[in-house]
Amino acid sequence: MGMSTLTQDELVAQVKRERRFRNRLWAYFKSLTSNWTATIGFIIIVVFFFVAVFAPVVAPYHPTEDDYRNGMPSYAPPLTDGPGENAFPILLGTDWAGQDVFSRILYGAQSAMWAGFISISVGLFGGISLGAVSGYLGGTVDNIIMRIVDAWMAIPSFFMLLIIVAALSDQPWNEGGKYTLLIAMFFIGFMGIPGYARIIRGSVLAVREMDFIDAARATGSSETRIIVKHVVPNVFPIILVYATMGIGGAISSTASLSFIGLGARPNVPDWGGDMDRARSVFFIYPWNMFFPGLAIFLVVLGFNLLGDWLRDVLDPRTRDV
Amino acid sequence: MAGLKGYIIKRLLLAPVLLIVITMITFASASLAVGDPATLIFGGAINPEMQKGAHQDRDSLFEAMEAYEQVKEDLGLNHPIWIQYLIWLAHLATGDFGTNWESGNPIVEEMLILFPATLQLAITALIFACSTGIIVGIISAIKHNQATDRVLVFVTLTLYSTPGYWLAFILIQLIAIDMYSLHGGFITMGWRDNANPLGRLIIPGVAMGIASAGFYARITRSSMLEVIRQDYITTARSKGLAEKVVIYKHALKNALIPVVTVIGLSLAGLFGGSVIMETIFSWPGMGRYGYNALLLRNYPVIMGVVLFSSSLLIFMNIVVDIAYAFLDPRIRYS
Repeated sequence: MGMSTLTQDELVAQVKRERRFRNRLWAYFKSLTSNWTATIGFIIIVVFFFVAVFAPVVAPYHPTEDDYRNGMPSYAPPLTDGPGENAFPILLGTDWAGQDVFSRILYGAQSAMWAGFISISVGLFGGISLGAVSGYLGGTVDNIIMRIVDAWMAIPSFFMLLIIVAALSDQPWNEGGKYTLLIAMFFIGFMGIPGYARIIRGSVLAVREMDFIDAARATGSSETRIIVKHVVPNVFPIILVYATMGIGGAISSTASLSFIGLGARPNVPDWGGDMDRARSVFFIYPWNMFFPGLAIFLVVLGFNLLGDWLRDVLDPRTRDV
Repeated sequence: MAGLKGYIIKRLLLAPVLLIVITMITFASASLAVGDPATLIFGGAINPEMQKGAHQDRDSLFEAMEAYEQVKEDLGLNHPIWIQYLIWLAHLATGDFGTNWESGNPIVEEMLILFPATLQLAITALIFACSTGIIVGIISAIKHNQATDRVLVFVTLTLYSTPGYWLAFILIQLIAIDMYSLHGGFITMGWRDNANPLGRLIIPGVAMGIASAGFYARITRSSMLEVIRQDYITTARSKGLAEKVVIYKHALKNALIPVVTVIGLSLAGLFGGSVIMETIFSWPGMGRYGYNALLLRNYPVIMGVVLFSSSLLIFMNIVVDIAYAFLDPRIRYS
């Protein structure tokens, strides 16, 4: 069965579909590489993603072993020789505890990537559900959801994040703040929901009004088919654009929370947390603060560059500009 | 304009409801914390003797316990949480914002002193962000699809992605290191540095406004691009007007409408950024006030700060809507 039951025409159609898909991917790839800002963004993200996944393999030193165990002095400047013969050089210096800053930055990528992934998942899940329901059903439901969204958006989100994190950081089930960063990531995503809901509702409304939806309805398509076949594909590009940009924002918010001392636990490699601990000595040992900050900057920039390109390519409003 | 009037009245009537919901959520979240604030307050300013642990004998310990219970009673902490909220709300209804548990002063008085400091910082940030953002955005749109545009898009996104607190330290390191002094591991200059406006306002202001600058540049660029494609620009061009006149007189005026909206909204949002900047620059403004209250679980102050900043947010939203109606008469409200 399977392939053999396909008629000649169906087979041709399938091959055509595959070829069209491959052509489209290739077109996107060509568009990406012809745009140097997007290429930079893409490379940054790929590198940091690789680093996050393979940190234990690529890091030259253990990120939490201090100077007693790894034999490296505290506050060694960048490009110092490593301890012992043939040791890997201390590329970006060491911090107050004699930990290798470079290795900590590599490990810190894990925390940053999780922050982006978790926040954006929560935000998109909530935002798509609310926005789609609101935009598609309309009427009273739409009105109620949009009033909730209004209230939600009037909450001062960063200060609220601080309140929640401060309140939950010394709960008995959160000993030593082991879940604090996770809570923060969820909450940052949660506070992103109303924004996504508005955008998605707006584009669902816009798509619903379009002629081709009327045409589909006139030819007898069911509502489900219209949603799956027409509304979702037309709204999806916009979602993808905002999600890419949102990941950068989420990483940046999580880092700033750790930076003011409410996020990451002391010894966990985290860019914001590392900057916080380096803050008091930044006059004398600036590299301790500079490099983790550079990592935050680069990752956020990467996602924004890619998001900007995606918007040019995917957003129907700017596609043909 | 009649539709607008009704719309604004509806929004104004809705605002108190929004604020009650928000303060309720804040109160509930803040009270999730373990332990009671009386211990923290008690260890602080209300009874300084307690700090020294100076009760060698039974009697003084007993006295201390009694005093502690009295503090709890005075702060109303023996009530269930929702009663505490209602008490707070009832006081608010009579115009009483509460008293700072730590200092004993009325919160409104304290905020009136602190707000100008935050405003100074926010305005500096805003001036920097607007001037940089709008100029970069306009040039970027005019040079659309040229090499300059790509470079400017890159610059824009670089501004947008820079963590303000990181930039603050770089700027100090690069240009102001000898203007600052290190004390107790913190930058103590900043607010107190009267002799030195560069260090005092410009560095924190630029650091606070950098992301907004990128944001405004993006908005300006896309808004300009959209306007340039409109028919009336084509008409203006076909009338034979000079390109400069078309761009700066016809296009820019219309393109700035969305930019003004976004700026209005983000003015309230700059408050969130002020928490970090004020904390690292020891700036005596609302952000640091709220942050310190949070660490001490100083509920009345936390509630005051949240009430203030969400009112600002809601108010700015309404102002922006009104401004929009005047700037763009095509918009209809229902």
